[in-house]
Amino acid sequence: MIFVVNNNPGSGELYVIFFSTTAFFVFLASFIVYFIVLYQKKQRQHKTERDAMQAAFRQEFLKARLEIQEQTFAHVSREIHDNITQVLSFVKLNLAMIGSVKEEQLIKINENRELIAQVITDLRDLSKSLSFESITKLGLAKTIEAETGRITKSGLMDSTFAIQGDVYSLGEQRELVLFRIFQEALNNALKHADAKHLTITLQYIPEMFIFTFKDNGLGFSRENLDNLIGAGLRNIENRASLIGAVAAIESTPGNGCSIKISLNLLQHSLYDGTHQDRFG
Amino acid sequence: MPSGLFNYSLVNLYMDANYYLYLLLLFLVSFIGILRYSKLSPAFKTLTILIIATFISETIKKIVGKIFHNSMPIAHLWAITEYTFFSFVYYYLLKNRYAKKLIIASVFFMILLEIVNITFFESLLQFPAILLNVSQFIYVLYSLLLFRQMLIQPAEESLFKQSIFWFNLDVLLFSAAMFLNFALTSYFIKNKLDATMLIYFSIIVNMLFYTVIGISILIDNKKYDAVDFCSK
Repeated sequence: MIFVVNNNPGSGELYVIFFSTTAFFVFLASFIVYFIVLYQKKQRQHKTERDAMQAAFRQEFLKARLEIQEQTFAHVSREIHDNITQVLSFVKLNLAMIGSVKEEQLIKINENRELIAQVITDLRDLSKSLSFESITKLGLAKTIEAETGRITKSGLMDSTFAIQGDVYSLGEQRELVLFRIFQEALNNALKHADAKHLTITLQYIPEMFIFTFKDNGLGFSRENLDNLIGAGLRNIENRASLIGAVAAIESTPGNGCSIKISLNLLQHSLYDGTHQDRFG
Repeated sequence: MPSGLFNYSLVNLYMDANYYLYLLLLFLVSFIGILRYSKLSPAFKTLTILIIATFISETIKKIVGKIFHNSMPIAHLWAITEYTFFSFVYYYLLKNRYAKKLIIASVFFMILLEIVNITFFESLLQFPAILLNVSQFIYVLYSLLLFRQMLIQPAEESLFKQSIFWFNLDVLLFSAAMFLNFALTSYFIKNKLDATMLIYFSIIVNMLFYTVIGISILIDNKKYDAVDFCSK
């Protein structure tokens, strides 16, 4: 400010007032700048904290959901194994015990017995695939190999299965999650992709595990996916993130689909190694 | 807050044109407030009512000043009314319960102070300088409290898009500047110095104050709680 002096109170005093006023406004301006900088820093800090909390919540939610799913699978698996297949075996046995029937009826009975035997085998396979016990007993590599063999045997599609490197355990929980990813991918290939050939590779590199699932089906573009397939792919990505793995899903229309799950074993995740409280 | 000094200074020392410009600005801000009233948060609704009341009060003061050549009784009444309104604006903005209680208590304190002031220091025909000085000091405290609260609970929205930031910054700068202006004016008058620059300064600060209030009313939105990061 410029002060016009009419009377003279002493120019030194006026200088003091002038500089005090200037200092006052400089202080105010500095305070405002400091506040703005500090506020923006706090905003970033809160956003980071909130994002971390949301991520942790999402992981916990996903974990809980998968645990419930595994419990349901285990229950259904037990019911199939202990109840339905037992009843069907009993029915098969009863059919075998039917005597004094005509030739035509006997042929029909035998046909029905064969059908029931087939249903029992299919149900046992289904029970095994739903249960985590095969993963626990056989491990990931052998379980996937068995599943792949079953698919090939069924004639639904051809498959190539390869293991690279020395097989090591990834931990019960991780292997179970990876197996569910395999099942989801297989389900997509069977139901939606109209694939004729599958290539499944398990790469056991020290400190890194890579699971690759390729089909030669119809393929898709991410933008044009229907909700069902989109949800399936998101499910694969979510499951992968749960064990600290990264899922890379690549596909173009007409060129099949490739799903690559990379698991860095040095990275910490919710499902590290073997847990006491396994699913089910 | 600003009107008392502004009115006192302008009516007595300045051209009518500046005063009419000031009234026009108040009218425009009031108009914006009325148009956006339903979309405003409770604090800014109170602020709108205050601006409308300021516009009415300033108009009355002008008329009374012309007829009776002294509008100070209205300035006294308005000083306390204005303080009450501003306190309620901050009552809505501040979340701390103790701060809210203190705000209510301060209104009663200011009424008491005004009674004491009229009785012993500044009569109804004198400018209510004590009350305005104390008010401005308290506004600075309110403003600092709100800045503190904003730092504790930062909102997700950009600071520069927050009505609360502009309003609070406006109050802080205005109160500090006017407090300084009071002190300097007293000094200049005491030493018989030409205070023209201070009056110009006062006019500019007042105009800026109401313009920024208008902007804050324009950008305020009750759906968004600017002082709570987690509310979005």
